[in-house]
Amino acid sequence: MPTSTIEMPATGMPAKEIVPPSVAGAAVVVREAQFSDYDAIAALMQRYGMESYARADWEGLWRGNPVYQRRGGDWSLGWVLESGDGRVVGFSGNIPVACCFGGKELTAAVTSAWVVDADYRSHSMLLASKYFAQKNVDLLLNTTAIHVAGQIFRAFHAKPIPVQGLETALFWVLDYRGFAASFLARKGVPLAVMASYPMSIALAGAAAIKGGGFSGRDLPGVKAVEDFDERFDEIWHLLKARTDVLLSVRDRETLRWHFGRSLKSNGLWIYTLETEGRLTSYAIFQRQDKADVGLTRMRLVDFQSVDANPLILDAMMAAAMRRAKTEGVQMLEVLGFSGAVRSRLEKLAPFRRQLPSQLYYYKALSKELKAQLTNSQAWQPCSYDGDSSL
Amino acid sequence: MTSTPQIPSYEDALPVVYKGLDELNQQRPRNQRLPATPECVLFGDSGNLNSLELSNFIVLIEQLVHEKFGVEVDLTEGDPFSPESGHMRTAGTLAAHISNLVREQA
Repeated sequence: MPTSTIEMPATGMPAKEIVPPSVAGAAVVVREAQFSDYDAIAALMQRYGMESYARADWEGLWRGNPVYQRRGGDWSLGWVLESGDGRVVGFSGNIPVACCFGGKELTAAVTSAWVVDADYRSHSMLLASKYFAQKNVDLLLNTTAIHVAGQIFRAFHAKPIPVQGLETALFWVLDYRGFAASFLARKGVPLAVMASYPMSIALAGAAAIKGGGFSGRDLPGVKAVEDFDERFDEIWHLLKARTDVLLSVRDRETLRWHFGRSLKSNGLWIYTLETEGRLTSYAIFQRQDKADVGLTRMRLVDFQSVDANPLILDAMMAAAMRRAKTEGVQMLEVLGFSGAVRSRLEKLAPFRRQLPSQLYYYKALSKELKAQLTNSQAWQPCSYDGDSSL
Repeated sequence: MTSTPQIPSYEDALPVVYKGLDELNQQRPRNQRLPATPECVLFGDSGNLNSLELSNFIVLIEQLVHEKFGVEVDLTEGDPFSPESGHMRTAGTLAAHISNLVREQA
């Protein structure tokens, strides 16, 4: 046994690996994260301006997770870096997510909430090394990669998802004045509220020229619902019959776990359409504000339909926009999607913004899956995948 | 007809690592450049590459190994950052690892 490994069977804690001192001079330890690390991880995330979950919600990412439950908790929550004086100076979460592809259920390990104290940044590679060393999964997935994380993923032979347009967000402005004020605040413009007036006029003019409204695109039968009922199991049964596309599992149990936090905070809008008494389409919109700059935002995080009629998406977008306007939401945004859905949204979106980097990276562990996932047709990425909307 | 990859010794692999260091050094301030020696620390105690530099360095070295020896290697396999046995500790440990990897694939 290497001298660097300390077994701690008496406490049930995982083995720790001692690594050389960091540039800050303190020895750094990498070990599996525990639920008891919550306070330290939340504090670290807050120091770096990341949204941290309430304890119950954070634990729920695993304890309430159907895959974690099926595995009886035999799963790493993630890994922490500890400094020599026992402080948590880094964390990367590891969330199990079920997917379907080729008629089989696969397990993806989704990396989440990656944060490392500035003095210990080089040790990010230790967290990455632990994450990529996992063997009990089919797929490693990152759907929220910032530039550095993307480079680290590339070094570990992860690949960007081979779908065009993923580095561009599409959006509709619903409150021009409020949106302009938050945009200028984000850019650090003094007196952003005052300065927002001319910008809002320009935005409204641009939107009018480009079009992109969904008014008049209503469809009888589109209904808002409050929760995921048994009809979602029925449509999932139909959706997963398509075996040539990698789909994150969308049964009722998984949807309720995935969106549990948003459902509790009324931050989720679900629109459905039934055909002959059966659920055939749904869209999910999630509130994703940026409070620090006063931005209020809804995102289309999922759209599924067993009917190819493009008017269904239009009608659900129209319904969400109407509600967003009445609730003071400044913008509606879309990340991801592919094929006809993406094309439709691109055609109608008046605005788009370049994301700082490609957000979606994956690494398949088996050669067979690796080969299959090089095909862009195998992907329908959206914000439901990974941790973007957890 | 396929060409047989050249089986490199440690001495053959070391210049590949040095070439990578040279390219890396071109992106760094003069007073922070890394020495082309086997003892040059890449990760750990006195290493001062950040995670972005380490990531780019790994990708670069894999490309250089492919160009020089005609084989594709994955330097992130195993436990590359282990303080005891990780091949990313120094230029020398990395060169030794490359030599072994290419030999295994030859």
